[in-house]
Amino acid sequence: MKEYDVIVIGGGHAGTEACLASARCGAKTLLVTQTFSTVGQMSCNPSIGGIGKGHLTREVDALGGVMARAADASGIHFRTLNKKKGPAVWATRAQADRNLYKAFIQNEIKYQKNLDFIDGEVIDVIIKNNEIRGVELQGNQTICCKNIILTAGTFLSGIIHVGDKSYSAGRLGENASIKLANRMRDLDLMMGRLKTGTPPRLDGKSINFDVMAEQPGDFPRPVFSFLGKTSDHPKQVSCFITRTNEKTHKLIRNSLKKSPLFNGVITGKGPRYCPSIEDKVTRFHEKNSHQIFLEPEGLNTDLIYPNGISTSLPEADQEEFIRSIHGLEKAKITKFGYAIEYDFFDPRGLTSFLENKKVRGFFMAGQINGTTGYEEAASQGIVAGINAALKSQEKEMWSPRREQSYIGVMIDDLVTQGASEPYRMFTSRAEHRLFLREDNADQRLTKLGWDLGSVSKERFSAYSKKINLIEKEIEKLRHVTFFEEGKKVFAGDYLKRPNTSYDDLAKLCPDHNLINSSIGENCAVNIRYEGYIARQETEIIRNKKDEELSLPEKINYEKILALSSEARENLAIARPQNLRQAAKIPGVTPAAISILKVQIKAINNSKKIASDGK
Amino acid sequence: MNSGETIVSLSTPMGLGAISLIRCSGLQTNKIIETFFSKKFSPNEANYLKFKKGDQVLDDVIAIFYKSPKSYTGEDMLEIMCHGGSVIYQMLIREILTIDGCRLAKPGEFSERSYMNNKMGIFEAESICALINAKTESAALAAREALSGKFSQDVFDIDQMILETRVQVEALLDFSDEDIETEGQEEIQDCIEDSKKKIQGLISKLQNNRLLYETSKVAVLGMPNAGKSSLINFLTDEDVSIVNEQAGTTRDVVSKIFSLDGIPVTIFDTAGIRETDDSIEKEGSIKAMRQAKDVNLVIYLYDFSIGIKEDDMTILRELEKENIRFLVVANKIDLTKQDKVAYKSFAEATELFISIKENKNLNDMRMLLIDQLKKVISESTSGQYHAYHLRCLTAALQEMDSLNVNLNELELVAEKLKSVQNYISEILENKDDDRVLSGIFSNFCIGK
Repeated sequence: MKEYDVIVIGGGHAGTEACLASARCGAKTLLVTQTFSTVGQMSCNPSIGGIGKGHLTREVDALGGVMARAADASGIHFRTLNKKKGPAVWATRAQADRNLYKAFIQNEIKYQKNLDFIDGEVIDVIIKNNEIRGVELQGNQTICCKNIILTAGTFLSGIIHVGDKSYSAGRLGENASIKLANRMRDLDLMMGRLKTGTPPRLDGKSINFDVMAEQPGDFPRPVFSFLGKTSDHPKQVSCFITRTNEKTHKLIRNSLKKSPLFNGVITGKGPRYCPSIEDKVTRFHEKNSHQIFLEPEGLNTDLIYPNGISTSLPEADQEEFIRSIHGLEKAKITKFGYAIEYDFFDPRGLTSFLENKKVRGFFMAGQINGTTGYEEAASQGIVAGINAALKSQEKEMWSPRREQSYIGVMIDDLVTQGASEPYRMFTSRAEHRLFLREDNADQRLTKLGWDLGSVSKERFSAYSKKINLIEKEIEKLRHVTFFEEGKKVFAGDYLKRPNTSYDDLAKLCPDHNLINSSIGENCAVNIRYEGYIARQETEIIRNKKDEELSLPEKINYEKILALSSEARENLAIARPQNLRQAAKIPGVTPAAISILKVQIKAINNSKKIASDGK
Repeated sequence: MNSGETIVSLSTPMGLGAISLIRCSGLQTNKIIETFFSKKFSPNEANYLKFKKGDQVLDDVIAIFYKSPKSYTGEDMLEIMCHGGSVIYQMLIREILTIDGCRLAKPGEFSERSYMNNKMGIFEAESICALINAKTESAALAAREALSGKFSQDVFDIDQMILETRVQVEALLDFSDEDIETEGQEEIQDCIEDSKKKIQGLISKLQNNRLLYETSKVAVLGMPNAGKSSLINFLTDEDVSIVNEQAGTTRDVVSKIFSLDGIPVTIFDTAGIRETDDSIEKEGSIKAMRQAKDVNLVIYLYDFSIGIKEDDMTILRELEKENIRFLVVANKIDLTKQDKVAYKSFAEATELFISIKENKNLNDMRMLLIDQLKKVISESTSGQYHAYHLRCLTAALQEMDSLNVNLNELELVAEKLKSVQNYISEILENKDDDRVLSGIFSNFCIGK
């Protein structure tokens, strides 16, 4: 029988990045999905990126991931959000053709070395002595492996709600993994229940776009991947914008008692960034209109995704309120909106390697860890994939750091705070926002990815060339001067001013040989923020030593009576790996950190005595 | 063996004794020596020299440098013995804290570092933890004292203003593609200017009230006409307030700074507390109770000829509930020889029976007060927190001074506001990373 280093269960955004990363790192990897044809499916809105999310996508790309390249190959509408603000918060967003996106991902998987895939439903994971030994598939087939990455998304005990109808499902039209969910319950992991929702899909032929505002893509058109170029992009199309009105809101309010979100049927917790239109009209009743983006689902389909009106109202009510909207008076609904409730595992049960703390070799990534969004899932997938591979090769695993990447921010938040609502990335979650930018994601992560084995030779050599160019150009810019109102100005100082760009230098310093405009802009951004970043770096270095102190696995928090009971309780649940993580936990005060430090020392001392005595 | 951050703390009780001892430990120890003393130190030698800020001499001190690992903490350490009293050490600590990488020590931190660096017995972990907890409690008291009453309200207000501005700014950054109505550049600029003014105001208030932090604080409470003002006049040898036979003469809080056997004391005369229909007097009572919460010691005075009444009991119970240290003193023992006391529990707590009018037991009164104040002082290091709070506020103000609201650089505005809020949080000792997002989600309808 065949044996694998790593088996990935689930082929969504987390699962695909996970299996590709694991295989790239050299581990013999198997992807198990219910049907391969749905691998790489965008089950919600057909778009990649956005503020915070675009940052994640670029980071995944910098580590050798597939998401950004798939977005370039399938993107039919590109924008740079926040362009009027500073470069740290610029964010790329693309509408994708669902079929092109899926095809690109499936193709990558087919041609990836070290990677096999089969159709099947995993009904059990085999665990001995708290170690993963394999999986059991429906039909009595067992496959051995040392590591599993579970990326089951909403498939674990998923229940779909439309009005008063509800039924078990993973996604619309796909089966939930009930057996696996029950098996997971036996493992006694901390679990919770969350909800999310989608809007109805519309037939574009039935929509009157002429009365709506058109939103074309940006020019110059941004590119997602560090290896991408605009010539990778297919044909581009526009999005359209319309709005709900008082009549829409009245209809929704009248139907509220039929919404499972409001009549108590759904108990799982939804996010505060209200995703359903029912939420919007109730919580912000003073607002008499909400924006709807009409996003095309692809080039060869008339399907339209109306972003902004996710709902779980009964089908008739959905149709009625949709038709109250300007331009949608005759809209045909091809698929109704729904809310879905699903199980998730409290991510505080994971280490920052995304490995379960109780069962060795059991990794989890994506929505089952309480996050929402493709980009959040993909980021965890790539981390779990890299780490499962490293573990199977008995190498040291990678724990992404907050000051290094948004991926690090997210994973640190998840494993220390848990998820009280579906977790979505925002730039305000990062302490080092000026450093964690889209433009320098490769400078933050590609070398690291190369060392970990997840970055290809091709990518790394392209990156090395670019870095060389950047370093030289920055040095030059510090010395190049021009005259402004009779005063000598250094190009470097000029670039620190707001609203300046590298391209301005063409006129200002005609003697200076400009390099490629996008790399040049990257130099300019580096220069712009260097003062702020240097300041943050001294802080990081200053605190590093203490923060890195790791908390022994066997530490018994209940017995440290010097800690407050709140701190004891929260520490026992989260079981942080080090003091930096501990400090993020509610109830852990600076005094508690001091006490933990002393306890660590005491435990280490007693270990030392024990080994000296032998 | 040196930790990243250098810690600084006063390690003798405030205000007592001829000298104060300031300790510093960590990487920046040599930088402190370089900055304030124009001399190189050899380890373990006492140096008699001048502590200088530029050319200005702040004090004559004795300073000893201990080289790592041969010191209490195992790190580089500096001990500075400066002149006693409460002004000088505060000034020196304030100066030391201006050096990058220096901060006020957390409670028990010198011992913690000592333990971490194997300078203590390895079985002492529990006692170190107990020490950290004990010191954290008294430090919390001292920090609260340094930021008493109205000042802490001011800091809370500033914290809230900054938070509200950040909610607007962060919403503009994270949700610019959403359909939200945030405030514009001008409103944000206005909010920032307002908070800046508030911080400036608070800094000058703290500076002006420095004397308050350098003295022990005593309030005299009691029913109208119990003799509060007379007692203060006796203690300070001066007419602080109008002494009048008619009850309720002192309607506002009057304070006086004086020296009691070398201990600097601020004493507060308060309006008599009692339920009354007179609105001015009622306001005075509220002020008096509020004052009681901000002092180190309350002297509760009652008229012995009347005895302790239900009104007195109410106040005493409240003092007890609030954990305020108080002395119960009976006045006017000349008026009666009979014990008319109705409520036993607090009557038994009466420490002293005096008559100000006939000068009975007044020397005992003075001795008792000195005795109590010494206890209070040895527990209090609030002065260094006062210095620390000033430093945090000044740093916050500096950050705001360099803040220019330009929508094209909104991310820089956001970063600066975040660091302003961090400085304010250091004073309030709150950590709540989710506040901004919560603010955004409750103010704006987010979510496509």
